[in-house]
Amino acid sequence: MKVVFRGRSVSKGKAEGEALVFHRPFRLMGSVKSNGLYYETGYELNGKNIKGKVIVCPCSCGCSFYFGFLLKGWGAMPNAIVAMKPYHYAIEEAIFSETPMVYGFDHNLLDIIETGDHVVVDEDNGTVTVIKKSG
Amino acid sequence: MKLRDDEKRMLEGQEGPAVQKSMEFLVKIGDANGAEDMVDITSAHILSSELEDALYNLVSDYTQGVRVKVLTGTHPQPFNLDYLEAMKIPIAVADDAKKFIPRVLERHKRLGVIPTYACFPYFAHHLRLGDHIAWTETQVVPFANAWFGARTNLQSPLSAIASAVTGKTPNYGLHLPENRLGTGLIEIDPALEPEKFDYADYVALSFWAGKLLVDNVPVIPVYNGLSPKTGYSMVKHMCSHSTWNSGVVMFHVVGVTPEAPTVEAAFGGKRPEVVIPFSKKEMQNAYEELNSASDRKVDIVIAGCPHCTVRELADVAQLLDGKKVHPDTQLWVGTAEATETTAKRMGSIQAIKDAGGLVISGACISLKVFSVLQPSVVASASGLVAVGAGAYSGGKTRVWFGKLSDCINAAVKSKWEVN
Repeated sequence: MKVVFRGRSVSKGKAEGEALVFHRPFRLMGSVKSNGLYYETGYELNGKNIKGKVIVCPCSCGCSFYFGFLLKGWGAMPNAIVAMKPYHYAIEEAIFSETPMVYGFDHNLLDIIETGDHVVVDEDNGTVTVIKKSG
Repeated sequence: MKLRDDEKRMLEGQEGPAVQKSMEFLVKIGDANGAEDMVDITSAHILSSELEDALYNLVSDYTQGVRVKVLTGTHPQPFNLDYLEAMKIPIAVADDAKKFIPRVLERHKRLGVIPTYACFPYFAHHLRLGDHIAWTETQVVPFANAWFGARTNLQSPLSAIASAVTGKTPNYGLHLPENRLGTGLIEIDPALEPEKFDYADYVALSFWAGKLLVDNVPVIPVYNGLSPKTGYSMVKHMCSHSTWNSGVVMFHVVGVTPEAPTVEAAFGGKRPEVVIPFSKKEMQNAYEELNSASDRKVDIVIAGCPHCTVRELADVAQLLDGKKVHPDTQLWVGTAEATETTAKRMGSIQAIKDAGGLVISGACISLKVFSVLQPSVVASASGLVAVGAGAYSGGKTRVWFGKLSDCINAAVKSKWEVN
């Protein structure tokens, strides 16, 4: 099954990958290590790798310290970010790390996209295409 | 975005390539956020953390050959070079710090910034209600919004520099009054006697609110029932962890925040969508969640994340009176150089040093250090230490979180016990 959603693009670009769905705000600085492992004590995604994934999250939290730029240099950034709502620095991180990001949808994609689904993030058309793993 | 003539000139490159690049970045941010125009800013706050060539060069593109256009202060240096050995920083990291930090400080001189090197840098600023400013970093941004009523988004370090050299920032988010209104009401039980709150109680309160409001993006808590005498040292402690943990960039303390003389004003006359009670049970739960340690032996006690105010330095000195820091534990006290100078006059600095504490000024003594040293157990009244140490150390560091008096006691006894 393939579904397309329309949102607001941060910049221009296109990327795809396997979804990793966060049900709480996603944080780069401090929580992601140089190898892409994500640490958040007590959270179910503690210890998961974000490298090459498409992060799907309600929004972001935390701070920046150029972290998106550094992670990109270490090859540990996610391929793309899909956020329900924008959060200050996160959009800037996406711009200067050249990571495609689309946000703001009519639907709550957190109820639709599951970890493991294939997701295509197309900033040029402002779309997020979801291909369900369950077919 | 609609640009004015001076902004168009910058974008066209008439003020040189660094200003042009900065304006291009600000326009991109504005477009991505749906901003209609730019605003003139009165102040900026930038980082000092470009500790590798890639970052240094990235920032160079935005700063080459220019000076800042507005009063600009700086966040703490990543390390205080005089204390690398005392803090047991590994040689390779120390060597990098010695190589890179002087280069960043030299650039700051060329840029014409005020070298505050502080996460409590307000002594160098003149922030007023309604001022548009362009600040970066989690500790200072909510404070500027909540204490002064100045208006800033949580800018990234790169856009804060771009704003400093152009004097502009895109007009969206917290620059617009309608986006500054509360999204959740926290009713504090008077039985908790808020007028007697310790620094750590303010942390527990704001931690709990952020946790429960985390889905109400943007998360803008309104605290009702705190003492109108709540001082800036207390509000500072409400800021340290809230952004990092829950995305709180603005909050209202009714009777303290200039935009919140009343609950009604904080919500712009609308009814709050969420009301959260905060009483004894919630306070206890917050303390329990902020504590992650079980081994009572404490390696490092941290006071000064964010940087201690003069009042906190006096508190630490007083708590240490007649005592000595245990040889098996280190006490790190972080502050700004300017604050240290004032506290020296009061005798607080000498008192802390005589008791065996380290007073480390102008630098961060917290999160970066956890990733480098990965100490087993730290104790602190800081919310950011409590919520961040585990993540920064890759799960290695555990935290005893509690009142400042309990933390100083742990430094003296090398052991965590709550009095």
